[in-house]
Parts: sequence; C-alpha cells; structure tokens
Amino acid sequence: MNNKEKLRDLLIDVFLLEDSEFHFDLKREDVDTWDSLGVVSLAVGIQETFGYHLEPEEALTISGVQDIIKILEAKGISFDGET
Amino acid sequence: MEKPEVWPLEKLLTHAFENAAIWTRPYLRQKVEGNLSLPILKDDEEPSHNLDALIVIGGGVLIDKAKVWRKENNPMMQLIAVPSIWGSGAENSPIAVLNEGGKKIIYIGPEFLPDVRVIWNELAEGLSEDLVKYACGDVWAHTLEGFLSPIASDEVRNELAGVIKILEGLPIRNEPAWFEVSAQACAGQARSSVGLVHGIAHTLEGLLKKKYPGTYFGHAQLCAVYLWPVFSLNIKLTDKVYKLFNLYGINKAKVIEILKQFFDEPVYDIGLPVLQENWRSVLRDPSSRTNCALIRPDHLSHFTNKEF
Repeated sequence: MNNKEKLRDLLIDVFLLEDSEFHFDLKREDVDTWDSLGVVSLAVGIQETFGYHLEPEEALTISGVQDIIKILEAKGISFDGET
Repeated sequence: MEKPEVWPLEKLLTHAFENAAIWTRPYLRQKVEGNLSLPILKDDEEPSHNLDALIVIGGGVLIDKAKVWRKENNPMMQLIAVPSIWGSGAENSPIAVLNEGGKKIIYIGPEFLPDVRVIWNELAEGLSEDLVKYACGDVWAHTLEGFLSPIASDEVRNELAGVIKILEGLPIRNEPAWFEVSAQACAGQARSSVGLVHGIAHTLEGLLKKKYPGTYFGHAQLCAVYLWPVFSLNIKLTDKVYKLFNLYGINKAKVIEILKQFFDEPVYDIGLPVLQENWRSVLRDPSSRTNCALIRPDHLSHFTNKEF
C-alpha cells in the first residue's frame, strides 16, 4: 500500500467516512467528525501510520487533506505527486 | 485545577449546618439518619432552591446529578459530596455524566466541582464482592486511560503514574484506601481524557439495560470487564503504551496481571452481540476518539474473536 492509499484509509477511519465520501480535496468544514476530537484522532493516526508526531500548532493550521499532505511531504513523506 | 476542600468525617458529623439538607439513596438512609440530624430528601424529591448547603451521599450517579442540579438551580449553594463507593471519583471531578434518554451527556467545568468532599468508609461496608470489583475496575480504567491519553500533559502523566503504582499494590477487595486513590485518579483523568474502555461502556450501558431489563449492567462493571480486552488491543496497535510504562517506571507485567482479574467472560459474551451491532456508535463516542491508539472499524474483530 503506498502512502496515498494509507492516508486515504487513515482519514476514512479517523473521520468515519464512507468510501464514497472521501476525496483528496476534502476540507475540514465538509466533515462533521473533523472537530477537535477528530484532530486528536488524526494526530494519533498520523503518528501510527507515518511515524510523524503532529505538533499542536501544526494541527491548528490544517483545513483540509491537502494541508496534511503538505505537512507530511515537508517531513520527507512522499505522496508520489498523485494527489 | 481547583480542588474541593477535604473534610474529615468528624467535621461533617459535627458541623453546625443551617438551612441544609441531605440527598441520598434509600439504602443509605438508615446509616445516614443515625449520624446526621438534617432533613433527608425523599428519593424522588429535588432539593429546595433556597438551600445554603446540600450534602449528597451516594454513588457517582447521584453526586453527578447533584452537581448538575446545583449549576442549573442554585449555583451559590455549598455542595458537599460524600461517595458511598469509589470508582467515579465524582466527588473530586469537574466532570458530571448524566444518563438522559439512554444516552450519556457529559458536563465539564469548574462549576461542577463540589466545594467539599468527605470520605466515609463505613458507607462501603456490606457491598457485594462483585460491586467492589467493578468499582476497583472503574478506578483502574480512569487511571490508565487518563495516563495513556494523547492529550495528557507530563504533569498529569506523572500524577497518574503515581496512582498506578499505588494501585499495583492495592488488593481488589473492600479496602477504605480505594476511596482516596479513586479521588486522585479522577482528578488526574479530568485534566486528561478517557479512551475506548469508556467509549464502550458509555455506548453499551443503556443498550444492555434495555435489552435485558432487570439484569444488572452498570458503568463500572462494563469498564472493569473491558479493561483487559481494550488494553490488549492498545498494546497490539502501538508501542506507545510500553514506552510510557518504561518512562514512568510502571511494572507492565503487574498491570496486565491485575487487568486480567477484572475480565468476566459470561458478562463479556452477553455484551458482545450488542457491541457488534453498535460498533460504529462506539467509534463515534467522544471517549473512543481520545483513545491512546486509533481505533478503526476493523478492530471489532479483536473483540469478536477474543484476540486477548
């Protein structure tokens, strides 16, 4: 499974989405479970999946999936330019 | 965090209250009447809005009810909380949990912290072994989940590590020491969060009571029964648990040995179909979402296959 697929599966599980609800341009405001608790789960999931500890200041800047990708790519985690 | 003043029992029994009343359960009435000469509310009676002080004597459910009642009806009233059993730590927590229509509603804020708490050991005399065991499990659940929470600060972790070390040496039986440990556990956990054990307990309690009316299913029981299954899932999913244990000098073998003692397979088996049917609700519970490891839909198999 590549990182893109891992991220997709992670976000579907963290935010309890149906497969059809997910896309890589998803924004926080579109997802009712992307609340403060969702951010906690997201941070836990990112640590477990990508080994990266999301700092609270970083978590606050995330408004959508693309922001997550930018943060992880800046830490050397590649998404193969396919998102 | 502010803490309630701690009164010795003697102070409660000799204090010159004016315009005060007692809110307690029928089964405690005789014990209380013999020691405190204040009006005792009837079981379904609510306190007067004009009271200066209310002494609530009972388990976490009644104490939380009194905490919310005070906020909504008489916020200036002095609230004195006397737990009749340990576990919830409601007497020492700014959190109140009420059952409304089968769902748990959580209230958080300094206004829900009692002004005074009192330990009255004799109130726990005569409790059944099962209730005592469940109460001890509830204390373990608060302590462990608070310690492992992803939002726990170093300060809270340090405090709760201290509580875990006390718990390691505390036998699972009716011992007065459990009252104070429970209060400390919940004070720490209130500044952290809980996890999947509580997510399961919150989701299942109302559903099991509805499905099996007349059979006892309580919060503390469910926390106790699910402690080991959830802990075993957490250690499978993340190395964070053991890393934290090592960092804080917690004896993991001892903890596992103790958690296994709380597991009750017959109760677990009764709850399993309900857990399966309501797994998505468990995942959505706020407590589950602050678990130390991310809980995913396919982790249900850990419970259905008893992978522990």
